[in-house]
Formats: sequence, structure tokens, C-alpha cells
Amino acid sequence: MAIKTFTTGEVLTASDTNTYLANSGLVYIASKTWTSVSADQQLDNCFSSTYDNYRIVFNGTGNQSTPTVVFLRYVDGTTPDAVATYAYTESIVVGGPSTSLYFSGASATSTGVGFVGDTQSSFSCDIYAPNLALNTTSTSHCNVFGTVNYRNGQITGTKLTTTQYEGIFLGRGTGSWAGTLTVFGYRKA
Amino acid sequence: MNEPRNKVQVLNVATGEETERDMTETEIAAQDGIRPNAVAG
Repeated sequence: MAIKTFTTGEVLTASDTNTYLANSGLVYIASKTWTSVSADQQLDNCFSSTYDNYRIVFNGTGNQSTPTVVFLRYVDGTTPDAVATYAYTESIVVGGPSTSLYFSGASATSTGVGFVGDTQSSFSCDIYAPNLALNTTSTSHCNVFGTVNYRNGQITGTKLTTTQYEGIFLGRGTGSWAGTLTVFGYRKA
Repeated sequence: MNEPRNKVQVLNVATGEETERDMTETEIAAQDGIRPNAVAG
């Protein structure tokens, strides 16, 4: 049981506590922090049958005065899937100049998930069904500030294959970066 | 133009082990498939 209404004077047992902590909405799975490097980042075994849908949250910074893209691939076993069956759309507002950018693409080797720049970068991305035998899709809301400009927007992605993935791979377009990525699962019931 | 990259830092969530590996040839080749880093202004 995931939902229970306690009454006045009722004892909260250890069993109840454990149950509700384990079924408390977004459930923490893992976190990875890296200091300034030019290496890409990968988390293995963060997706499983325990959850159908996930949220990943990133906070970080880089050395890019003009923000650069952060891209996502799904990991099959321990191997990132770079087969060109990703499709994406991006709706981004660039401040500095006040410009709207719209991108879309198919047959790509990754999907965008955010940006990183030399002041501050963050994104929150929901990932749907990575470990189910369905297409894996994502919706990310992202913010980035760089010395040259800043960007806010939304990026959606679809991986057009029913491969069941266990992990996630993040890379960036240029430069070095540092940050923390946290993975949560959405409880099912 | 993207800078060449050839390292990946990996966290195995199941074991807590952190390692670093070289990119595969497929991953290196796929760098060219990343959508252009379009910039306005």
C-alpha cells in the first residue's frame, strides 16, 4: 500500500515507515558528482523493472562562455546506444540577444537534454519507459547561463527502438564540465 | 566544431564502483552525429 491516512493516536510502526519511505513519490536511486573534466559521464544499472518512469536532475557548470549542448544516450547493459534512431525537438529562448531557437531532428545518434555554460547550468528531465519494451521518450526543462548568452527551454526526445535500457550516458558538445546528476524513480503505486 | 573526446567516467549504481573507460570506435564515430551546437548572437 502506498497511501494511508493515519488517525489520531495511531502508532506509526517501523513497517509502515519503511513502506511509505519506499513508496514516497519520487524515490532516490543514485547520484554522480564529477569535478571539471573533459570526459563524458555514464551511469550503469540505474534503470530496472522497479520503476517504469524516471527523473534525472543536473546542476553544474563548465568552461563554455557560449553554452554548449548536453546530449543523452541510453545504455544497454554497459554499452551506450549510439545507433542513429533518436529523434528530438528543441524550443529554446536565447537571452542576451532575445532569440527563439527551434530545432528538430531524426536519425540522430543522441537527443539533447540541456546545455552547460560557464556560469550555471541545470535541467530536469523525465524519462519514460527506458526499461520497458517500448520506445523510450524524454521531456527536459533546461536553464543555462553563460557569459555570452543564456538559454531556457524544453527538449523532447524519442528513441525509436524497444530495447530495454539499464543506464544513461551524458556528453557535452565542447569543453570541460563539472556537476552532479541525480536519478529518481517514479513510484508505481 | 566539436572537440575530440575519448574518455567516459562510469558509475555502476549496483556496485558503487567508479571506473574510466575509453570511448568505443562507434561512440567516437557518433560524435559527428551530434546535432550542431547552434548559437544565436
